[in-house]
Amino acid sequence: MIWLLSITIGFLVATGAYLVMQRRLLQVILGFSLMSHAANVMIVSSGWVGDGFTPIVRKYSDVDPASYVDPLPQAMVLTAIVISFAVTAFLLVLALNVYKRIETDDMDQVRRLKG
Amino acid sequence: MNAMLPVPVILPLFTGIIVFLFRRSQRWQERISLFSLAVNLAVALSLLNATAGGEMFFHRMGLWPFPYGIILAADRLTGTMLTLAAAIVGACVVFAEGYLSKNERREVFHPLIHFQLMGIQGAFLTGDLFNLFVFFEVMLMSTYALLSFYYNLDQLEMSFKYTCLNLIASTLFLVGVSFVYAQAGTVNMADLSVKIRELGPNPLMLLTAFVFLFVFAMKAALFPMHLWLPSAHSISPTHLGAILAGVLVKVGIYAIIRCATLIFPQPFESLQPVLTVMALTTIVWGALGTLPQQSLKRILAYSTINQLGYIAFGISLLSPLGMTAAVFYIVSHALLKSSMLLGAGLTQKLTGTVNLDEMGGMMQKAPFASTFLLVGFMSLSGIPPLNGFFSKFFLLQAGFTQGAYLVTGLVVLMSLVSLYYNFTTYQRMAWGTGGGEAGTAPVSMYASVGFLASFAVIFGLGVPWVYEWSQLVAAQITRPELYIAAMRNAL
Repeated sequence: MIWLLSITIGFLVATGAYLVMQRRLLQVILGFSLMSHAANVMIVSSGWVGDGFTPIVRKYSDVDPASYVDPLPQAMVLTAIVISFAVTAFLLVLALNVYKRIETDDMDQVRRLKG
Repeated sequence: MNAMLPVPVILPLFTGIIVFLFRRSQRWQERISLFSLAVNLAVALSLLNATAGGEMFFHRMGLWPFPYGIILAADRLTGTMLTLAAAIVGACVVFAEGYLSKNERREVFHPLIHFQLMGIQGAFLTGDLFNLFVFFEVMLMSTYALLSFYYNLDQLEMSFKYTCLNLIASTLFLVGVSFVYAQAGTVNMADLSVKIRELGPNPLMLLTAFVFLFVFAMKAALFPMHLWLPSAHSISPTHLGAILAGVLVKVGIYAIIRCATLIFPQPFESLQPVLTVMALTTIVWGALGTLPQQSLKRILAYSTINQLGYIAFGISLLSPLGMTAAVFYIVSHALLKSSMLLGAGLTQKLTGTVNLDEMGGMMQKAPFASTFLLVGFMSLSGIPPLNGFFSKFFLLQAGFTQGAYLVTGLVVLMSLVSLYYNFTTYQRMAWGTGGGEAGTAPVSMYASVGFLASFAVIFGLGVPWVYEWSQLVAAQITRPELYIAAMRNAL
């Protein structure tokens, strides 16, 4: 199953990178969102155990910890998802305000600062 | 003292919330905000005092057993950085009180600055790699919002760029965490240090260390990732520019120091040439970048890039001597550069411009602001009794002692360039005659600039004590086994 995760991560990064290189602000934001999803899937996969059980244990003494999926990366990824959600929302607000001011979401029309 | 460790995180958090509830009353908002910042500075100073003897403090959040839960840790480096952050952010808020006019979105300024302070101090305190990511995001989220403070098109564009760049860095940070977790199975810094030493050198660990170097270099504005800094300094409100130059970039530097000394000491020895090249290109780029600039704030921004290169050069020597020079440089540059950016903001308030061509004759029009800036520029260019001279001196001493003659020679050459740009800038700004009259500014603005600028003189005259302290900090951080043993004993 780990190969399926690897392909998913690769696909998300590729799509995200393609979108980030577009000219429209909205596509750029979606691209970043996809790339952060790829990172999240990567964290989940770092706690992966082949054929592992769900890490819910009633009594610790009579189980083999090695046969369970590591729950810590899953806790970490929840935090990371919330953070990327907040940053994406903030970027959308910025893009909306840019659109209100210059009536376009073309990156090349926005560029005024240098260096 | 252990129980006091969460205070620098919790205090700004609650102050931020309370100040937001008081948004209708400007007077009470100011009072609560300033009182909280004063308490925060007192807590930071007491931590600095407690860590001075070499003792380390640890606090388990949520009382989880040792390698699993989040741990707050304080050693001498943490105490130093916390005190710097508390003092500079405090001075910047006092300055902002005079800088912002009556109805300029103050109701969001105070809450955001406290959330930012929470992220900064949390990043200095945490002993957990993933928690470091979380505090980085807390800090960055408020910075994004503060950068687009006036919502004009320039600030929106700059904030968008800064957010995108940091999103790339954050994504890579997560990738780095997943690399580390897959190999070592832990994110606690002390535990990681032990596990990585046991795993021994391997290519994947080298890649992981490189990913983290890239991520933190983005925050610290080292060479290929420095492009956001000049716009962020010159377009954002001045007090935020001062926090950026004084504290936020130092958070990146702090994380690089932690990686190089505690988490990845062996992979960083292989990465030493990369870090040295980054430091040198940063120095050269920053020094040459100042030459064509017209705006005082942009010159200070490029000078910040230049100085960050010097600090990174000190770290890249990977020795107690180099680390001592880097710590000394961090302390003196943080106070110096934030005082200068606030000085530029004071000039802007008085004359309404930061363009050097429109200034001229500032020494007559605004003698106090010009004097503060004169102290700053003299210190930046390395005139002896001031702290800028000693920070460069110790860096060169460390470089020559370790036999890095060619590299250190280049550093000497670039400090001549910085001498040149500092003097021409000051000449264009202060001497000669310029049109227009200077306005007035509140005393609190002068006081905060003067407070920060006075450290250039104090640290210059009291250099033996500051250097001794830097040596103590470096002696502690270059021996990670002390940190690991202290954490094992405490928990």
